Amino acid sequence: MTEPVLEARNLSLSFGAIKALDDVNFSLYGNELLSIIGPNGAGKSSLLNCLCGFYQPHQGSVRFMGEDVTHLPPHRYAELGLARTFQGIQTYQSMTVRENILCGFHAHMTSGLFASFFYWGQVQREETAFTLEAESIIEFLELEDIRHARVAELPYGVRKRVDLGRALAMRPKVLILDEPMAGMNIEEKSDLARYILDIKDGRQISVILVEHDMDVVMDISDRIVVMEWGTTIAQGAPEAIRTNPRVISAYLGLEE
Amino acid sequence: MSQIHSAFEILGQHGNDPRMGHHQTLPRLLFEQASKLGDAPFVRMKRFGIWQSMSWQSFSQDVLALAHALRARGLQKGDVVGVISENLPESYLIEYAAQAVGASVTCLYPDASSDELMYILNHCKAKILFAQDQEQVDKTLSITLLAEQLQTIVFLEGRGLWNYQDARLLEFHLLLEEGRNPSDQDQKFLAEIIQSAKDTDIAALCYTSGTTGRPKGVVLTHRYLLDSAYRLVASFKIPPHIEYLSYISPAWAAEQITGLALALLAPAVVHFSEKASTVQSDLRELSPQFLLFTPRQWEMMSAEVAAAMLDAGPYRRRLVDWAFRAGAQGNWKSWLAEILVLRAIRDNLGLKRAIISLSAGSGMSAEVFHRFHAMGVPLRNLYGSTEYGLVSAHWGGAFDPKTLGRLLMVDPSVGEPLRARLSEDNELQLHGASGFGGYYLDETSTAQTFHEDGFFKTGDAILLNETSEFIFMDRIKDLRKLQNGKSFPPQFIENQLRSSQYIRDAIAIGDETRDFVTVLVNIDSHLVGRYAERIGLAWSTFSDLSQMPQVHELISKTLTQINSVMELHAQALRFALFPKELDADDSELTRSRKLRREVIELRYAPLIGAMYSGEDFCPLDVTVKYQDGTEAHVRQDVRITSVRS
Repeated sequence: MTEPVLEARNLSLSFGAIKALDDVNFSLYGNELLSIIGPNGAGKSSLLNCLCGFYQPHQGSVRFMGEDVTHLPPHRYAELGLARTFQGIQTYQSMTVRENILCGFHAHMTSGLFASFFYWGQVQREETAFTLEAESIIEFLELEDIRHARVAELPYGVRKRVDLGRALAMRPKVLILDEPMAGMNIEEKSDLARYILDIKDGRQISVILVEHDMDVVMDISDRIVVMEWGTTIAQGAPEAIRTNPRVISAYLGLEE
Repeated sequence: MSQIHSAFEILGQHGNDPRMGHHQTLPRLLFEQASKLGDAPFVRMKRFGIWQSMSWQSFSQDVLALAHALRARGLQKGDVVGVISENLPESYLIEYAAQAVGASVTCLYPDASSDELMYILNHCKAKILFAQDQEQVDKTLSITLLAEQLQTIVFLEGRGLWNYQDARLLEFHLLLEEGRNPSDQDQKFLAEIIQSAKDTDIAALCYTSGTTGRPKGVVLTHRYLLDSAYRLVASFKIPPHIEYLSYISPAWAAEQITGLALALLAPAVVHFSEKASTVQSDLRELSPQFLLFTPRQWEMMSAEVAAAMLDAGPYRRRLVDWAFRAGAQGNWKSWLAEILVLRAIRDNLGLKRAIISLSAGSGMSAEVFHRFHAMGVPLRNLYGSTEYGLVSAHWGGAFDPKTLGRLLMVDPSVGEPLRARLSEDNELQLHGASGFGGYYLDETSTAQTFHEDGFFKTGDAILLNETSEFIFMDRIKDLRKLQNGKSFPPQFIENQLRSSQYIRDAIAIGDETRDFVTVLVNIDSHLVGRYAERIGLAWSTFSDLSQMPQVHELISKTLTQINSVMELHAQALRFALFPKELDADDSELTRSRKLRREVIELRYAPLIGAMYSGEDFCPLDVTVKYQDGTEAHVRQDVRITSVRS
């Protein structure tokens, strides 16, 4: 198999006496959709926070494109090509769809405050280039008819798509989605699932998906990592996970 | 054979506009215009949120490249190319390129079912299909019958097709590149084909929407297209470089004429909106000078204004009502109304610069017509048949919303002017001009459409008013007789009903077994919903809303008004409201939103029976088909109301 894009090696993290992560290992390969599932409190969010530099693991390392990035600050992760969306909606409500997506280019913009104030040639060219790229994301996520609409006026499912667009604007190599489908109806979920697959296939971006909707997870994932009490209890293809006795007992409780 | 009243014969005239067809084909005319107009814009489309132009020069070069690529892939004279796509610059490119090779195209409505697609492609034996996107590709690949016949499927948008393995799939831009560097010999061959093509060659096949039976492929020749385009250019004095919005589907002959042919003849600048969902805002940004919509689209536009007014405060509402009245008067008041209100409304609808706005396809109510005139939009009726091209319109200033206008002026280089006459049963019959090219591979049907003496039978029942303008009654076969032998015009009643902002569609019922007329109505859920909100009604779904007594009261008032202008025997006495919206996916409408009577009358037979047997409720079980193919049953007690006279 080829080199993994993102790799967690022996990650451990504790808050006081509570072991949030205990020797977690997994790899994400190029052009792969990997889902992380597990009951509440299994350590999924802690793991994500370690993967994108919000938390420093006490032991172990995170490797991105073959390099150890464990001790880099979070904004360096973003520059390297790791984007993330959060639970709930984190868009800028008073801005338009296009402005929100343009914000995603922040890490790639070079114009300083002073230069932007005078709006000279270089700044103008940069803005044009980024607007063009934002438009290609708008086309990709089919937001053309609302590109100039204020985000606050849009329904939940569409706002989540804007959120996704902003993450794409970071030109990521890996996209981490934290429960993107929470609170959506079936139609919005299937729409979003379609976009996630398109992002993987059409933009060649590897995706890590944390999601509670098992139907969606089983349907679109290439591989699944199952967590319980801070450790991974199973990894594999959806069919294998579905029939794995440890996974069933973790979700349904042990029969004694 | 029905007798002909020679007294009713009307003779049209030749046009005097110099922009004649001169036995050109569309590709020849394109290259001729391109060499004259060079860098002037021909096509405008929105890409990445900005309007971008393509010049005549670069467009015609793309046409040449695509023609070379198609020829290299085996397309020959007499072949047919299928196109299933929304209106895109590429669909124009494809059509001209196929014609340059000597082939013709048949365009399909993007929402055609795989059944329709299968029938049409199989009938015209298309080997190459241009499909817009994944949806159309999926539809095509699902048809196993075509697996052998279709050799190449070219897609315009690659999204979602990344992992498709089918060897027949090919991306449009790759195909275009294949033809970029033709050898000298190929260039010579293609130039010869283009030069030797005749204007009587087939340019396009237009499969009629098939409100009856299987669709028939109407042959549109180059001569037919350019002659029909000329009729508009000459009669309406269309200025060169007029800005046209390509919006109605090229699957309809009208777009073939007003878009593909007229754009070359006039010439025009053709605009394409970004997506179906952005048409409204694109329309406003563009404000095209020339547009052709169906009556339904005009009605929807008018309903949009009405809907916006429902949300406005009482003062504004009164001001707009006043402006609509004043706008029609033509004195200082209309000047004031123009400045205060009408200009802004036109601007919002994207009709600010419209100099030629046409309605064609079926009848439109006079009310909608007048509303647009009050707004200052010069809306005109246009009448034609797929077989015979454009026939009549309001041109030369005069217009009467009840009529379809006068015979259009014909290209003198094509032949004699149009001649029209009425048969004994009021059928319009036509002669002259470029004529009817026949149904593709169907000589029997073709022969049936001609009278012994060579007149073409349109199948439309027409009346003439005192100035010899046409008044459309109905399709001959759709005029209905009641039990008492008296006939009534169902379409007329339906059009009147549709002019109410609360009604989306309506169907009038009555035949030899019935002694009076009844009506089934499909309400406009949006506007009726607002009405219900205003008078404080709570409702959940469409079926709930449609059965409320207060809503029935509202529709009943409209019917009372319509009845007041009808003869006694033709008045609608009872009505019911559909418990679900009529939908093309349920085969209740054609893709261009025309009613399919047979289907509706069969499906709602119990309800119709109950209306005649005097019941007040009818339990109904209707099957609804969703777009993903799944079905659901709606079971509902449908209310029946008698109209108060």
